[in-house]
Amino acid sequence: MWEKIANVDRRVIYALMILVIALALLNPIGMAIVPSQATIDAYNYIEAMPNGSIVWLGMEFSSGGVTELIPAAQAIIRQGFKKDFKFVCAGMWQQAGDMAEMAFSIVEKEFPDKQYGVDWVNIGYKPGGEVLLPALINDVNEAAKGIDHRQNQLSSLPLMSQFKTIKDADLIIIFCTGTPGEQQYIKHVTGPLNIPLIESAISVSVPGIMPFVQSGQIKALIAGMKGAAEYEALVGVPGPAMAGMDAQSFSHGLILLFMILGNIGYYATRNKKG
Amino acid sequence: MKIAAGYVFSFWFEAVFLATVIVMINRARKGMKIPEIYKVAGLDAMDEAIGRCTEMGRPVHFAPGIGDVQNAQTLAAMSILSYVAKQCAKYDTDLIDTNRNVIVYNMSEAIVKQAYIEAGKPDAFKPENVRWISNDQFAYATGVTGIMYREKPAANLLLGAFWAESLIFAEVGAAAGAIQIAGTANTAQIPFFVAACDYCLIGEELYAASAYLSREPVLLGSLVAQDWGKMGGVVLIVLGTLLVSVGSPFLKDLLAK
Amino acid sequence: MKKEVPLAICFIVALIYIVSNYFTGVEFLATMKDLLDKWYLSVDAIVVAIGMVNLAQIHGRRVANKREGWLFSLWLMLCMFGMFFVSIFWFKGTTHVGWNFMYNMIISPMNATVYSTLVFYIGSAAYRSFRIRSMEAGILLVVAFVMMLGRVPLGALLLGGNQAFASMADWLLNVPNSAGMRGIQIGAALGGIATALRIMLGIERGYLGGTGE
Repeated sequence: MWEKIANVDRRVIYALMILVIALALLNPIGMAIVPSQATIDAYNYIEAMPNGSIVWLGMEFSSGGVTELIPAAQAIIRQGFKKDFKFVCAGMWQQAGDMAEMAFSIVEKEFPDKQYGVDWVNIGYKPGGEVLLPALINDVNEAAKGIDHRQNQLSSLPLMSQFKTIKDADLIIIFCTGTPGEQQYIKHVTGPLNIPLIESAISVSVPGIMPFVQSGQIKALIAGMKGAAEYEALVGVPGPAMAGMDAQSFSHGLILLFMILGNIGYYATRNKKG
Repeated sequence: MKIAAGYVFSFWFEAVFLATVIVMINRARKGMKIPEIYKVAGLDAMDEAIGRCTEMGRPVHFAPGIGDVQNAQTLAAMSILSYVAKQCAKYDTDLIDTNRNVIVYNMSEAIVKQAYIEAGKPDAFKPENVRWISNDQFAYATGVTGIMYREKPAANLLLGAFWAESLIFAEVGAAAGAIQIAGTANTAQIPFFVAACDYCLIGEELYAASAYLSREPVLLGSLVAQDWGKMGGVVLIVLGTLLVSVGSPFLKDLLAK
Repeated sequence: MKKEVPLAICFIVALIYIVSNYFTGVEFLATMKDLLDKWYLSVDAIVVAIGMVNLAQIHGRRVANKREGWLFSLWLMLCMFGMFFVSIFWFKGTTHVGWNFMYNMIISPMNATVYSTLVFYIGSAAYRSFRIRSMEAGILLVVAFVMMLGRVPLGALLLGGNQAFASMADWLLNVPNSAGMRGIQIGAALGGIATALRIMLGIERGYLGGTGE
């Protein structure tokens, strides 16, 4: 029996994982979300910005980061639009434009007075990778080849008459799953131009980003899906992140259980052999 | 012409670092003594892994990461590939090299082919063993997973710039029964490799690999210079901590120049 | 000359990049750098064709000889060439609704699906790897426990609302993790610079193929 516990077939683990996550998603118990200091810092920083600020949203992620980053983006958009922020979005990742459209899909229903081109613009993905950022510092219109993600001329959008270069942003908020990401923004934008930077990152990237938060190069960090759920709680609008925390909690619990079982089986069989 | 604002300190730091590298390389070229470098288990296990493949009659799988050719990790991986290809050619072991970036694929093919030529076995080189899978990250991950399940390599060498697919490769390699040596400087992926692989090169150990494996004095000399650079970093950290603690922003302002 | 010309090109191009990054007021070099960036993007796109030829050769041979899994190889080639020709001759770019459909409804969900398989691999990796074989492995297990319970509400639920696990997880992230990450990042950055210098100076030639001098 101990041998079996020490060597559980991985397919059993996979099957139980599907079961646990599915059950948690279908029958959530609604665990309490208590915002951490890191998320509170991010919320308070944005809340302290003057009404009508222009905010740059860097959508540096693809479909893999949707679960953790889109809820954070939507919570920030809700908070921002209550303060009449203007948002300009773009990204170095190929799906940047699509991710921005996904994030702003809440606007039509929740903020019908907010208009595209006046209150927010989605420039979308522009090729070049890291090279895009210095180009945006010089001239957004030229860097974007004059066209936004929806194929509108940037010169026809009223917001873009106020936003000529990334230096016109009062705050930069980026959503990252990898490279290019925060290090490129720190190197080209926030470091030399001293524009404050807030990041929402996937959980796996958080340990590597902590030194930048501690040095002040990143003002605040919304960490993973938990951070997004905490932000939703602070903004007061429950969303997909809060809904997903039960599933994440139970999957963590299952992994911990298997870790304990694995060690019990390991020591039981080791003693037998010994 | 003047140094751009915000880059003054880093320019001088790099200039001093470059000078140190050149001095240490010259010392090595003249045959002067250079310090020993510590043992890196993952690199020592490379020959063992290739030997295992030879005995079992199964291929070696090598993935140089998904970074492009501008990435220093990819270039470091190419140097390791050169060594691995030479060993595989010497022992008539199949080497399957999978690539995500097409330029890196072209480099890999040239490196592996040259290794077989230098081993005196040009006909043993199989072009179909050096493969470009896809430019898309997860299509590449899926392709490599399929190759590992079908070809069942006895050694899985994952060296270079990896991102989310790192754990997929490591777990599938484990399921295939391969000995796994991984290495990356991407801090987010190091924990996955440490947990799932037999050996892991952490950060700069990947960059040291070519010097370590070849034991060429010139390359080892540059490693020593690297260590001197780190000493300089430690001095700056200690000095900076002390100065900030007494309220002096001198070093902080200097670094920001 | 076979090795000398690429090494010279590498040195000159690297020098252009370094000087144009560090120095202002050198318009010629800045222009050269922009040109090189554009050339790189163009080459990157063109060599995809070489990769497609390689795939066609490998999978074409498999289909022709009806080797194991040849149907999958046929499907791969149909998808690859199908998307290629349709995008160029029918969609004529990435703004067509058909292209957006193919990308957003097929490729994007498939990417998300493969990314999602990580949850299973994390489970099996944790079960397999977190065995207390040594003191370091024991510390790793304890830290994993605290982090996994601290980063989800489950930890607070188990302790009746007490945020102890979350606090411990935050401390682990802010103190030992940050210290270790700084060390790794500084070391890796210096290693990257040293590697780049070795390649620029032509000391490391492994990437050219062959064994150097």
